[in-house]
Amino acid sequence: MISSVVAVVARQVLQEAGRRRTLPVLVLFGCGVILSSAFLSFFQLGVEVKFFKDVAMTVIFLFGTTSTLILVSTQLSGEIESRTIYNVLSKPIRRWELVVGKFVGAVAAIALCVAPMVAILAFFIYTDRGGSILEAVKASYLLWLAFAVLSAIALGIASFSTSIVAASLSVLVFVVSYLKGAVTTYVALVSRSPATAYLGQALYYLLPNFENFNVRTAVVHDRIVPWAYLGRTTLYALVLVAFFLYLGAQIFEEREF
Amino acid sequence: MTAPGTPWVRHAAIIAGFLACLAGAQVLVDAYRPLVNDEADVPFSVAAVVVRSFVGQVRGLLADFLWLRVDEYQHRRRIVGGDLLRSDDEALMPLVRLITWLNPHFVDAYALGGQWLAFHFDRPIEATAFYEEGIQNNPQSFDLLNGAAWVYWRFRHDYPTAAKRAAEAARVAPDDIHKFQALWLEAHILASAGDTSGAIRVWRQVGQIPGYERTAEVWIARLEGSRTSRP
Repeated sequence: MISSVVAVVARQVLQEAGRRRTLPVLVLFGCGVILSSAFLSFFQLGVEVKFFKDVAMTVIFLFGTTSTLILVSTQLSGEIESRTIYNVLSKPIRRWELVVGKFVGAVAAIALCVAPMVAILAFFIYTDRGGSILEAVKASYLLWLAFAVLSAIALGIASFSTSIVAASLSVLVFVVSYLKGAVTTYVALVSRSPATAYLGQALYYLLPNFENFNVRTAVVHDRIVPWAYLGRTTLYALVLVAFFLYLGAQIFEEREF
Repeated sequence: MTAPGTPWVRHAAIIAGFLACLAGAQVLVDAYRPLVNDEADVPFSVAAVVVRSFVGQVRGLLADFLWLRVDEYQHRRRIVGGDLLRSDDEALMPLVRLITWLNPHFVDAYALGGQWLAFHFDRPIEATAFYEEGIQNNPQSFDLLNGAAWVYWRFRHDYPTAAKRAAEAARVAPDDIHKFQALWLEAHILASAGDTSGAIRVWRQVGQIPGYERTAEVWIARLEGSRTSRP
């Protein structure tokens, strides 16, 4: 059965994530940074809670991104480099099931990594009366969606490259997603050609836009993130994930070992 | 039998479909984006857009940490030859500018930058421009409206704008003490501009604030005395 095969691969990814120690250490370190920032007291009342929320959300973002890259970039290419892929593919498993299973396991492992940091954030928001816990959870969910998209991108790249190349190119895609704002603004300023303006617009709509998953300022300033925004961003993430998994699976299908 | 090239056409069609869905989903997200992005209406300069793009999602945190540095510089300025070292003062402004690029709602940075430009660097035109940018991004900020009113009044002698900003500060004052400060300022600005009636009207507003009745009476009496003694 398709779902059971995917589940088996996903479970194996989860077990491996725990066994490799890198992710638990990263999670502990992230929790430590968030906890220590909760006791900073050189800001005036009110500012302190905002600063804490800002630090906590940034730590979740940074450590989540690092965990995602470390975990996902070594999944397919790691199997190929260590030649364990021959054992895996000798089993009754289709290649796209392996790709999807790796993805499901990775996003589940990342959710487990992020959960303790979100719990600490929620605890201090509750004790310091620093705003809505629900809004912080919504923002964390959006961050997790960003990690899921990054996982799909990294898996897509890992289907044809080595671990280091997959991690480097994923970081590049991530950075380009933020830099495109600067590029499109610059292009709009210096170019009077309509074609260039259309190209800038096309870049905006067709490249992954990780800024969609950033609602930190809204949460820090106690604004409400509408459920409709969450729904639309989830749809956006689903399209991106499906696209990159499709690309990854197709390339992996064609690859010869 | 599948014709040669058909799978590639199918892949291309699927990829095109995905890209169309992606653009459509982005349009859907954009419709709601301003509700969760309180920086959507801020008119950033190109330099600000570039800096913000490079630091990505850590810009808020970076602004907070830069503010710590500003705070340290501000409180630990060195004294050389019996006077404050000017280079320490000058080191502050780029940091303040960077903070407002990274977080345009960092009111303290705008307030400090405007104050320093006017009082330490004797550049009131730049100071009011900086204040106005801060007010545009944070229209409900008492500190910025009040600070701008001071600079318009004491440095630029632009009494109508100063009085307007002070009146706005009184409207957004968070409590009675701040309201008194803003009205006090507005009354003095109007008196400086020769509008004694306007100043008396403002002092009457001060008289309605609990605890400030006596202060208002004294000032009204003084202003009315000056009006009657005038030839």
